[in-house]
Amino acid sequence: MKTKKIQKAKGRNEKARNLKTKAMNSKVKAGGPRTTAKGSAGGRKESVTVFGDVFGTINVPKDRAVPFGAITPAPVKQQELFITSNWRIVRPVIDHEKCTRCFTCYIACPDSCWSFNEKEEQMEWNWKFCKGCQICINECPADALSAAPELDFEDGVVRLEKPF
Amino acid sequence: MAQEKMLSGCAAAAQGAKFAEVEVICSFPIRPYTAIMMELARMVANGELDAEFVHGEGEHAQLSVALGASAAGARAYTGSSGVGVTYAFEVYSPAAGGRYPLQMAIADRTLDPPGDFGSEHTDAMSARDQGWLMGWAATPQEVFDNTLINYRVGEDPKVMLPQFVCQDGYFLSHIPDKVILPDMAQVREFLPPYKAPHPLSPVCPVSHGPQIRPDQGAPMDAQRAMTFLDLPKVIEKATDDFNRIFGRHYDPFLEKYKMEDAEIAFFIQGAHANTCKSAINHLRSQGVKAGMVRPRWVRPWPTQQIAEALSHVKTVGCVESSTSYGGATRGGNLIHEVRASLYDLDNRPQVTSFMAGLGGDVILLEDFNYMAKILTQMAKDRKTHQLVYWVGFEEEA
Amino acid sequence: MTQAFNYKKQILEPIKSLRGAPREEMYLPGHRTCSGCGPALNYRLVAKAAGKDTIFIGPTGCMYVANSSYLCTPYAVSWIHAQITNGGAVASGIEAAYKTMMRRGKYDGPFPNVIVMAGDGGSVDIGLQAMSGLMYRGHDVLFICYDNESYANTGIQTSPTSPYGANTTFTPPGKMIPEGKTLFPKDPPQLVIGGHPAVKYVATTCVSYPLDLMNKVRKALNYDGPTFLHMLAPCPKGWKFDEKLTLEMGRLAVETGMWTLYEWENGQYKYSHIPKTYQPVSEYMKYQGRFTHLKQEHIAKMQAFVDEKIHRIKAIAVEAPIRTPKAKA
Repeated sequence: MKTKKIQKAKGRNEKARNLKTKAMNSKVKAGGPRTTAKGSAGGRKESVTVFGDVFGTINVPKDRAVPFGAITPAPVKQQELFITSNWRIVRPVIDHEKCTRCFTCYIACPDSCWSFNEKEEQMEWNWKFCKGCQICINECPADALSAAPELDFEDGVVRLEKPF
Repeated sequence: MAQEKMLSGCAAAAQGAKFAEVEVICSFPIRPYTAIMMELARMVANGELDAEFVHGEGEHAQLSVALGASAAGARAYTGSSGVGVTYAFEVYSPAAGGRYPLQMAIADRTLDPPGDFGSEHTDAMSARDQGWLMGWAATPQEVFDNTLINYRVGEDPKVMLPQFVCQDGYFLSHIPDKVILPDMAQVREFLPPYKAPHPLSPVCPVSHGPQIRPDQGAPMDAQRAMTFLDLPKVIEKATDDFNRIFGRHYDPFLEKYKMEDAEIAFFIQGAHANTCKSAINHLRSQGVKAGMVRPRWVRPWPTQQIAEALSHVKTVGCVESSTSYGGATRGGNLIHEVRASLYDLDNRPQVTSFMAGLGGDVILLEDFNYMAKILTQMAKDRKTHQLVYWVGFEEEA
Repeated sequence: MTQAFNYKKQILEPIKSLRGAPREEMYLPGHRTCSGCGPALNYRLVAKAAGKDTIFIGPTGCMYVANSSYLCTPYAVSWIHAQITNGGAVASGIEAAYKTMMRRGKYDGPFPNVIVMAGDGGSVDIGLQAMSGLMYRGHDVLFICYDNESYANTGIQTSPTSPYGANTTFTPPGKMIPEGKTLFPKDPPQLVIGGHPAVKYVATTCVSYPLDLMNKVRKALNYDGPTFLHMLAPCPKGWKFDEKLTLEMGRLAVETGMWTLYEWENGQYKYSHIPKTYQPVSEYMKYQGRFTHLKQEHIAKMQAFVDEKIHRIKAIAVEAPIRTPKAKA
């Protein structure tokens, strides 16, 4: 789609003031100024032009761009535009010895933060998205999960200078 | 094989949908548009039209079914009248903002209260801010033609907007007139199949309509407004193609009748324009230089074209068949936009409005004579004495 | 009128174990739902069971706003926002479109799973009409009511499935109305079963029984025709319980009789997870802040309601509660 520039407020006012002058001088879009038909009765002014492009331009600046019709592509592995790890103040810590690979934590997480690493043959935790709700810790039948404060960790999200 | 038939506006609309090979239809009965759906039901049942005919549970559902179908990639068709049009209101903006080019046939009807089956334009006019295409036909032929033109314009990749194809209830929807039905080959040349840019599909997954922040709202609006800047060009091209392929002579935006040397002009949309033309013939025979401008589109409003067409007359009378209670003129809706179109002209004409054709009233020749008298007086006085004249309601009781 | 048309659909096999469940996530991490959100877990399980040939319809609600903030969604499959009023209708349109597109050869995949994920309001209150229309017309759509027992997204207001005695912002307890909510809830599956001849399968599920849930989803999707699932989705924020207890609440709901797990197909009811002895409802209510204002007489009224429900389990229909009996010690 062709893009045109948004007028700044000042420019808009100026344009409005110039409109009447412009109207008198501008050409009609479809080509050529139109004049009144002949036979104008009683000493009326001969010609009247109608204005051309009075709607200005509309342009969405790059930093405010929105997708057409608010239609966005589906995410593939994770939705990187809404990282949620900075919500948590505790994180689940897993004891792989106690873990029976029952997959309860995997199925219980609303944020799909537990997955089974086939190669390592152990449960893997998603640092980027875990909200720290502790459902998995509460559900684990083998007592393999416990809660630890984020502050205890080098990569604790509470230590981040800037949220995502 | 082109053939000529006597069809009412409703039958013509149904034929239009059939020739447009619509794929999903959603029905719900309400007078006077119901005949469109009855006709389509018959066509689907006997195999004349291959479409899914869904019995919506109400007008709101009709729009929603059509929206879903359009989002999935099917050409969708629905319709309503009166309070049905206002019941579906919630879905109009989602349809336009979601860029789903479904079509809604409106055979207009006065809004409740209380029940009134007669024609009035207020029902559809009240939705004109929602971002749809909108326009009134004046003859059954034009209803048929507009059905095809609206799909062609609405489904254009630069446009992608839903359309209200309106006609006067009863006067147009139920009175037959000559309609030339084309060849399918002509239709296929004019109207390509609908191709949704990002349909809901397992093949290429997309999300339609995620929540946005308030600061993302204005760009959404601006994006929709941008489409209306490009729209007139698409309408012009489509109408030119239509005229060429089907042998018609539509001006893309306005029908102008005896405007070349007109001094007073009627601005009127819909079927009552036919009476207006008869009135103009009569007035002309009496030496009154009257003319008529009939807009074929309300959205996009043909601002420049109207300014051009009315620039050389002395007075304009907008015939209002819709109400805007408490509005600037305490009358209807058209006058505001006509005045806005003309405001910046040198020597702009005087513009007034006449409330006529409300509630299902016929507009009589003598009503037009009355209006012409007022317009002539205004021209003489070079003054608008009144913003609105409620025709037939001005005499003291 | 839908014309007779044989369209190929995929048949989804039952899932035998958690380990055997499909590993692929169709509801991905990265959404603004509350920590511990029951509906979110619900969504994840449904999406997992349905697989990639799926189109979701999301009426406005928590599972719309929280999931799709902002301009991004966690759905790996196609999804469309619907109004809270019209989930059933938009789904009908999508289903009809696919039927006609497949008939004309415009789409050659298997017929997609069309699933509405509506909240309780979007199913049996403001969305009731559209849901009923869908059920009546016989579209091949699965309508899911994820029930968090309130209009949660707008800040926890009462809905027709909020339990008697719930403290919501539209039913706050006070001097004049000590119990808060005085009305007993609608029964969504019964609404569907009671009057829609085209419906093939109706079931209730609970997020605490994931295999049961996923298999009911697959069973419903395998049917050609409209199906309805009523899913209990505990809401830590609305019910005011510690977020780690989400699945605990689901289990207690079943164990106290507040929620019954059953299936209905071909006119037959089949129950599962019926406790040998039911725990008193107070065991369920004591964890939830929305009930802490209730007096003994109110809890007794709730117990009477549940007792009646349990007693009639074979006959199903839940009636208005009987008069409050003497409070049990």
